[in-house]
Amino acid sequence: MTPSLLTDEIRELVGTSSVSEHRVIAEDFQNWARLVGIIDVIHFDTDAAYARGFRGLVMPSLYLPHLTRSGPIDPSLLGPDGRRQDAASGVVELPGLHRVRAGGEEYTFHELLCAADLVSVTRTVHNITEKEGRAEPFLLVETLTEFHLPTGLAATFRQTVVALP
Amino acid sequence: MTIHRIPQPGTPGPSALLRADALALFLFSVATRNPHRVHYDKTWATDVEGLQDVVVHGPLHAARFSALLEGWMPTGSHILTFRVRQEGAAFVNEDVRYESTVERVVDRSDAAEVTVSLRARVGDRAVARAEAVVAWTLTPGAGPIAEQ
Repeated sequence: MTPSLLTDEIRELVGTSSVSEHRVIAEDFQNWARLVGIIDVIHFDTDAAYARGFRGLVMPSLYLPHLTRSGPIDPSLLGPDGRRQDAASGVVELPGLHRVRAGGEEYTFHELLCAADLVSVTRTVHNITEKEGRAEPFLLVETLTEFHLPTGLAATFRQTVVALP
Repeated sequence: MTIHRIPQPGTPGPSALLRADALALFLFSVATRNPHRVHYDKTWATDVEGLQDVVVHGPLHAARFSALLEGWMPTGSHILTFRVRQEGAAFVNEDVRYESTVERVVDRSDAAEVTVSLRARVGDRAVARAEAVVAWTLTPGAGPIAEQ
């Protein structure tokens, strides 16, 4: 009988959380926006953003999960596949599971984030379940990330990744 | 008076045919500080991970969906919720067709809530599917689809 991928060690990750703080950096989200084809002036021209009633340069909504990846990459904290192992990257390390595929993402926005905002981020491993795939079994790993401004909850990000041996 | 036209359910939303070459994948990896080899190292992607080729980032499809929405909505509109599911891989240099349909429109006093479904495909192969609910501003003013 094939041993379960969902070991006690992995099961214990469910419910664990990490907290970090991140500054919204205009140059970072502008670089991302140009690459994906977002050109609205509210992301690039401070005066235009003010004129339209925004608090500052508006961060594009779907840049949200990349906000926590800012800052330098420590080469000593990269896996053999190049994936980051540091907590801020959002990677959940699963012993014995080395391949990861994108699954799904769900965003809910309560307030737009703007350049220079300081955002408190709480990431929680919400659920891990084992599935029988067509080719091989895998784990579905769900994380829930909350982005808080001093004024309250700005956005939530729920992510599911597929993890394979 | 300037008004913004509200899209009607059942009508097409924005669409595009886009390709990601090796340079685009490299730059997206840099912009998202994502050094995962499957996006730039063909030997690793094929020999170690068993993929057909280096793979397009899942978040790039989501980002392109959002870029299509941003270019289509009047300025001042914004995304309320966005849900995306990856259905299959797209690989470097493949043409990905992004399409969308307006599903529902709910009138509010200062904005309409517009639900849009989005799909990404390579030929007949499904790549990603998404649903966005956007706050579609009704406020008079400049916007990409404003009419006089």
